[in-house]
Amino acid sequence: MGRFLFRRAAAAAAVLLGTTVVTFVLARVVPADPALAYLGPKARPEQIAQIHHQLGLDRSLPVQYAHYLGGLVRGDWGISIGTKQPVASELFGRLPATLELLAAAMTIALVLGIALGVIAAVRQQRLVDHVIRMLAIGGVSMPAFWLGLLLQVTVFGQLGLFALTGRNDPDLEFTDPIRDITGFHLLDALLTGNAAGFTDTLTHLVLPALTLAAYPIGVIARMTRASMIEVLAADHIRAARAYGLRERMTVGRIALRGALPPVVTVAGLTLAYSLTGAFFVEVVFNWPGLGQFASTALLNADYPAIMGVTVLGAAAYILVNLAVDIVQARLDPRVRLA
Amino acid sequence: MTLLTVEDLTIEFPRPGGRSGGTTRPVRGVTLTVEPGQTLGVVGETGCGKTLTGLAVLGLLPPAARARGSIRLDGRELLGAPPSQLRAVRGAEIAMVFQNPATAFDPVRPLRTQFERVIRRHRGGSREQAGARAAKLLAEVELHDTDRVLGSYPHQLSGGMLQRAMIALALSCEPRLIIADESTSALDVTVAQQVRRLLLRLQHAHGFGVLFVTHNLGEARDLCDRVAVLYAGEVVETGPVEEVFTAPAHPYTKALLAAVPTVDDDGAPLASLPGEVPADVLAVTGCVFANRCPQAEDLCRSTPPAAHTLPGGRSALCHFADPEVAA
Amino acid sequence: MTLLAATTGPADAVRTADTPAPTRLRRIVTALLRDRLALLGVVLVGALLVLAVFGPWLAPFPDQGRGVADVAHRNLAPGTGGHLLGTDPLGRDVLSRIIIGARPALLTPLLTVALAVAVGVPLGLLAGYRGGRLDEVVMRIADMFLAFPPLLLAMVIAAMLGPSLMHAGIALAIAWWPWYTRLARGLAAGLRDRPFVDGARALGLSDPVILARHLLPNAAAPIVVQASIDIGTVILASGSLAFLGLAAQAPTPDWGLMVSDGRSYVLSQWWLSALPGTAIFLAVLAFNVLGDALRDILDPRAVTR
Repeated sequence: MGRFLFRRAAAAAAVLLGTTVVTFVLARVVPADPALAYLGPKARPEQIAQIHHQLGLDRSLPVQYAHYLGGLVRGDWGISIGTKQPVASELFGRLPATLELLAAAMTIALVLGIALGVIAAVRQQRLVDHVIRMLAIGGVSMPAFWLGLLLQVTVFGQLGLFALTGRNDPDLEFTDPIRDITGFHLLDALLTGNAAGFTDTLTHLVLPALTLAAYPIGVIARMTRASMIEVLAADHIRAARAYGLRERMTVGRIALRGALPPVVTVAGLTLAYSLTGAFFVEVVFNWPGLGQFASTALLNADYPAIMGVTVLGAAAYILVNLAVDIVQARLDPRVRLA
Repeated sequence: MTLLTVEDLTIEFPRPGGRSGGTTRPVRGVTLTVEPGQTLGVVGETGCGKTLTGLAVLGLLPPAARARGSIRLDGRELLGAPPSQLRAVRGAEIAMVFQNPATAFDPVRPLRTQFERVIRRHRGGSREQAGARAAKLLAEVELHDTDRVLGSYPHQLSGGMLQRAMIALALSCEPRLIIADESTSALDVTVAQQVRRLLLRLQHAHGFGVLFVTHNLGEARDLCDRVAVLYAGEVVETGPVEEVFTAPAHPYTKALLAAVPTVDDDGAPLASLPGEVPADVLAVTGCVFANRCPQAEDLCRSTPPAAHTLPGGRSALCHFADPEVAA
Repeated sequence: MTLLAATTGPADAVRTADTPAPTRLRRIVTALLRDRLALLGVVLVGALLVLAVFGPWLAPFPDQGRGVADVAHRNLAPGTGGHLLGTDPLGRDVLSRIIIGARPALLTPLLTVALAVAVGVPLGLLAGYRGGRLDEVVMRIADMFLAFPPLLLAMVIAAMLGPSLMHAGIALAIAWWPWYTRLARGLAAGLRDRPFVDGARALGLSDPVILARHLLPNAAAPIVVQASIDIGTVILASGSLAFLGLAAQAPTPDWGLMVSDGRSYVLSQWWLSALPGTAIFLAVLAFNVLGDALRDILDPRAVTR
């Protein structure tokens, strides 16, 4: 297990280094001049040259890359053109909000997706199965920004349930402020016994989390169904039945356990996918996370911010894939010992 | 008292792709008995219905299948019994040894967990007690490094070791009937021979009856007391194994035996059976073997034969089964 | 030529013996029509294609559809004044804009996937077939791109190129090609040592000929399946880029852009966002259903991704 971990981690680090190269090249081959983004279109040539010097753009590309990489490692990710703040602190300050949204969505998706998949597999080719398959393919076909708007119109607009936008009611700041411990408002409110804060956070979290969960629910349900059907037909399930084990044990423990490895893989893939999906949900629900910052940066050609978002996104993606490999090895002894 | 009685068992499936009405009957009117402490061999080619018969005894037919007839264990009817009652019988009173031990164990759990599940399901008790019993059973099947075996995952053990472990698992709740479905077919010749000896020794010690499903006639001869030959879903001949093999009464049994190479062979070419099993046996008006039978006459093609009882506890499903043949 | 035909036989024999071309096509079509869900996909895709081709003639208000304002008829609810799906704050007919928007909504993803396949598949086949250094170099480059969430990569490239529909398509193709390289590489590596390829090599055929005539036909099914599923994904991705403002710009009728523009009115005039969003949903659904059905038919052992 130790060697396996080391090998995978080393490979992940190499790939991460590769992504910084891609990011750097992308930022250098674009036609626009970053100096113009700082100075505006009326900049004088000597001003541009000065900015170029400040940014190190007058040096050779390898030197620039080394400089960029050094900055990344030291935590110096540049200054955002839009907010004039350090990119690293902008990103990491908003990370908890996005992570809380992602965690809520993935929890919903895993519970619902696996449950739906198992039901569909056990009731294969019956009405429930057909309904679940329709729901699943619908879930993976929905634009998150559209589903979010629909939920806003119906659940909030018509039924008056939950909240339209934001992470907390602005008034909460004055009545029951949430003390920052982990950055996860739900957890912080719980830890500090802040009941009003907890309810308010939950109210704001439900719709965006459901929106973000739609795609992973569909993917996880489809994979769980396919994997369960395969495992349920396997010899060892027939053997479990031949030895009189109860169905709850046979289906709920043995078969589900055997069906999990591919489900974990797609759950990891959809988590990585949802990192980007969260951008759209955050825009629709005005959620103060990374996605909001990133979409503004993208529209305004805020290069330092875009590069930061890109590297962070790739790092998260690589980390998730590494985590999937490790969980996979824990789940399947044949992988671990191979 | 007879341990297992299968009487007039017919298994029916809706015909795949057929909208309504169409059915196939891969097992028709099968009657078998297993006496306590004895071994009945069920022999025949692939697709003759021998595996389905074994599964029917356990109540493990695929959901689409419908079974008619009677399956009695110690006189208790199992066919149509409620699922919970069948689950209590499976593993405890009837245990199965599968063809491929490499896939019959849960691939993601060590063997210990799998023994614990079965033992605790039927006998209760703590994990430690179940573990101790598992160790004792493994020693009995001559797997002496019990801790290592119990801690292993299936892919870490050889086929022979796994099949011994499977037999130990089958014995774990002291069943009175063991169904062995091609239990040695996936093993090397020498390992298969060891497993057969082990089964005989254990049967001697524990006195369980065995329903031994195989396509290997030599194996049936080694292990079985009686034999039932299946062809296209019907029992064409039954009787004590020695008598049936030395003086077969049914032309199909004769053909099967003629196709087996023996050590004391005089060098005569092995006979192979011409033709094929009819694609739709329900459409056959006479004897289902008639199209391949060297002795078939008009009668065989028009009228299905009834089982002829022969002397010496034998019977054959043939118009021309000669009562004198056993003599 | 006879010699060639006789000796390259195995490759073709594998293909024709298993699945002679006309029978195979017929088999796919009958299978698609038998599955009711797949039939729905076929019908939806057909309807979308009709809209994409004949949209400008089908739209009830073609000029408004293209972006001409009509202030006399602003903010009409669906069904009023002959506007089946209502009008927007500039008085433009929503139905016409959705119909006219079908062409870019379909064409961009189709061209994007075609470009990604055209770049990715030959590279992957070559890497898998040749192996060695070339394989190493191509796959390491592909890995660098695969390390990004594809939609994020596309968004970043589109933003850096400057927002336009063309740039969005290029950005999406850059994000998607390595997936085809990886798929094709795996397929080619699996086929490389098969006897019919050895035979072709022994005949002295050139690499491009072997790739095109012997590897590609045998690797086609999984690639077609992947592409058909990806069209749905890329429709969704390009809609997402448009929603963020990274693709088509106003006043072009673009579904994603319409959803975004309608957001300000979501509680009072839901149809402005919801209906073009529904168009995206149905288009993605149609291709996903079709892709699934094709996979079940062509590649039944493949696992859902």
